[in-house]
Amino acid sequence: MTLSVAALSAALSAKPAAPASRPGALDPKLFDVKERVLANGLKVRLLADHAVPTITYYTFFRVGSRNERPGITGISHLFEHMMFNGAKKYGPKEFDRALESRGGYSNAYTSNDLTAYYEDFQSGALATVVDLESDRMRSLALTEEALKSEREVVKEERRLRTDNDIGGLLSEQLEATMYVSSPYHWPVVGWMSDLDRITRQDCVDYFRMAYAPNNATVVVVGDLDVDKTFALIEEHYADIPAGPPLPPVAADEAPQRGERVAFVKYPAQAAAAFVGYKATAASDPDTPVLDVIQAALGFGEGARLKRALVYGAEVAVNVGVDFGWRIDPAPMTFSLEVKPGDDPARAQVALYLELSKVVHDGLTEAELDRAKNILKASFLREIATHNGRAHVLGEYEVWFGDWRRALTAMERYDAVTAADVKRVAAKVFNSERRTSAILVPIAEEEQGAAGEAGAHP
Amino acid sequence: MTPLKLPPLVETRLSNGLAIVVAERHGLPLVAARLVVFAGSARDPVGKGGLASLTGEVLRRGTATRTAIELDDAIERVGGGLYADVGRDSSELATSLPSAHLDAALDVLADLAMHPAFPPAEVDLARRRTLASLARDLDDPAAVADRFIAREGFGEASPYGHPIHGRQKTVASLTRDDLVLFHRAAYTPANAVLFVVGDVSADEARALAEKRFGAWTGAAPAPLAITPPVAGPARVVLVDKPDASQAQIRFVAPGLTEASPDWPAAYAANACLGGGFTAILMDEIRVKRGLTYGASSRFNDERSAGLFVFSSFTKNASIHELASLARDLIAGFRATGPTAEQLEKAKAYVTGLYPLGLETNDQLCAALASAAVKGLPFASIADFPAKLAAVTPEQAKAAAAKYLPADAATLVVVGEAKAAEAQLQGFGPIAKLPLSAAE
Repeated sequence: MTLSVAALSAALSAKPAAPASRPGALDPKLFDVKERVLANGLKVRLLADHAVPTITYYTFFRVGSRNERPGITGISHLFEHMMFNGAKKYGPKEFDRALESRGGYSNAYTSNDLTAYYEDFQSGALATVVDLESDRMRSLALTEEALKSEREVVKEERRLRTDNDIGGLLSEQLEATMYVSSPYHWPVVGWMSDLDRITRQDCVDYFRMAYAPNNATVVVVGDLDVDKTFALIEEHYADIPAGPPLPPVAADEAPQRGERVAFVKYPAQAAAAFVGYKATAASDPDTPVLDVIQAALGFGEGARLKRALVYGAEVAVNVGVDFGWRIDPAPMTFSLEVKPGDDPARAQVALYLELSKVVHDGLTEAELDRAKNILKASFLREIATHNGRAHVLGEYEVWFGDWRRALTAMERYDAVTAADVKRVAAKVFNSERRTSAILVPIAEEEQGAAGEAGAHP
Repeated sequence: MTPLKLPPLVETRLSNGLAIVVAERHGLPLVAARLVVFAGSARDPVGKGGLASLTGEVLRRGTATRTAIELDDAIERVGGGLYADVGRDSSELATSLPSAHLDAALDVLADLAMHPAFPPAEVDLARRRTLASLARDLDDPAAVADRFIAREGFGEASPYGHPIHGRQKTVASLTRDDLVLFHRAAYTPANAVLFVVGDVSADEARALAEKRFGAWTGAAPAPLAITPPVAGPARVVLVDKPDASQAQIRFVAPGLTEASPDWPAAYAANACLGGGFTAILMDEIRVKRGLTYGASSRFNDERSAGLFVFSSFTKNASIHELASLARDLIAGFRATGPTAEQLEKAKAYVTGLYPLGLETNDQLCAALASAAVKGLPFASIADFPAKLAAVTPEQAKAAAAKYLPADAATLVVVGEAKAAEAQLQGFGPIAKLPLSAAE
């Protein structure tokens, strides 16, 4: 089993928030985006590309677990599930039936900061998809019966990805310990006891608060006709009324005055440690620097930490790094897997040594180039699909309010210097910003009391 | 609607006989290359399970002229990635990178295939890491359940029956000599195909391949005969994972291979039963009853044999409800087959989404490799939607009756035995195993 932090932070996400860059010689047609804002505030971004006879249709809402409050944590994600349980025109189960029978697939994900819905489909189904999406934005049904069943589905999802998954347990405890007053304190999936507490009325209130067209961006990429698609969207969405703006989020995080540690006792074959540092917000000018540091330290077989900890000192059998963009300062998290019987403290010490080398000596020119090239190639691979390109456009709308920002990501990475790396590493990699979650394996006989943690408040 | 168009394939051979297949795609300055060697874990000698996998892993840890660091750097410094991908029928070295650097990538692939050094210290380290990773797999209930799929489905005596990465005991016994011998017998141009897909001309790809692979020599190993499994009596394998609050549940039975003329009909039938969000299993188990987050079935196929596998999971209190419901749904569908409406919906779903699986260079490269490994013509990739669309309700019903298990399936449950055991009566005799049995 690989405890990939990248996979974990994306536990409720179809995709991680990939840092992105762009090489110089991109075909301009790749981002020939046509944009419009409807009178009700709905932002629409269209991009025609006829290479494959499919279309991806994304709807981004700038709302996630960050917009929740204690007591109903997990409602953003539970609500995302409810969006598939029927609206006025397309009743229960008809959303997926209508879509699948026309050669389409739908899914959605919820993160701390946003909720995104998408459909991938053969291009003939576009009118159906616009009808389906506008129907549920206009008049979601939200029945007691659907909530009762969906609540159990989400609890099974939580059991799968958190309660019975070591990486899930560790990352949940890491962020719950790292963040005290910020809404990043609670997990996107929500506490088990809150999942039992959320009512239909909570869902109705949430829909009114978060799902108005002026809080949404529709991004459509693929085998489409731009004029016809604008007309179709205008026709279906124009009558949906705008709502009040989202209430402000109390996102402030109380100052951290020293290192924090959480221990997690769980039956396991080997120990593990997740080490996180409070880093930067997506909009922070230092974020591209941290993207480069992340790639240099953690991406690929030749990454510095793999060389040092896995192949060199052999204090870990695997090491991962995850730094995903968020609206408020996000963690950069390192995952350390060790052999059965080994103490993760040795791996932690080796990690701290490597990070202090970055603080004092920075990265070599070769490491900087390698990291930048990896970020660029990963961006190219992401935009190679309709879904990937639509996702990039929508994410930049959410993080920066403008998809065009994606076009200048390249310059931002190119501008990162060795001095920037040292400066930002010195700021972030210090123990005052550090929180660890340590897995303490327990033998099977000791397990009686552990049970389904949090199931009964 | 624009029809699915795949780029034309240029199939040739190098001077030493190595087959090369090139597909040009010029949208983005990217290229994917994959060297497929027709030898996977099915060729692990008895007692040496995990040999093909460990060989694939250590290849990149040093060659006659380059260290592991130099090999990784050659690909990663230009933003590329290099992956060893070992399955039951093949060992594959895949790379994906900006197309300007294809030569460097082919240089590395050829070096790994032709001149691996298998440094003793690297073999020892890779073995230790594999043993640790096998141990850690026991902490993942889904991974434990999946380890029993091949064992129960193909049978322990089958070349397909052991885990690709091996087991604690067999991996511990692997020596550097084992790796050297496996590589010498399996990694030969007569037993391999090179695929290149992306922003490169076929002529240039071929010239670069000739330069890098032209001196590679060696004969193909003797073919491997693998007998497909036959259904045994129904039984239960219960693997105890104390403290689990959720159980992983599988049904495993013999299936069919993609080369079978029945494949499109069986695929269509399964798409109705367990292939999408509106398929019967998901609808009944998740949507109607909230018993799980996911429930699906599939025909899992290797080159010479295939399995039918049902997968789901549920909280401890509903293990019996889910397992008996799934068994009844599968048996019911086996008896009736799909309705005409279910079949039409499933066909539209699968064919509509089919192009998405071939959208990137890496995806097309992997699909071509998979066809070669399974002994299928490359045309089968583009032809599949039409074949699926031609399946009639009668054919789907016949395939369901022939390839879905009646009740002769193995039920695998990984979870807390004290919660699960009493719920598993009526599925056949129960073999209760400790977690360590999955090692």
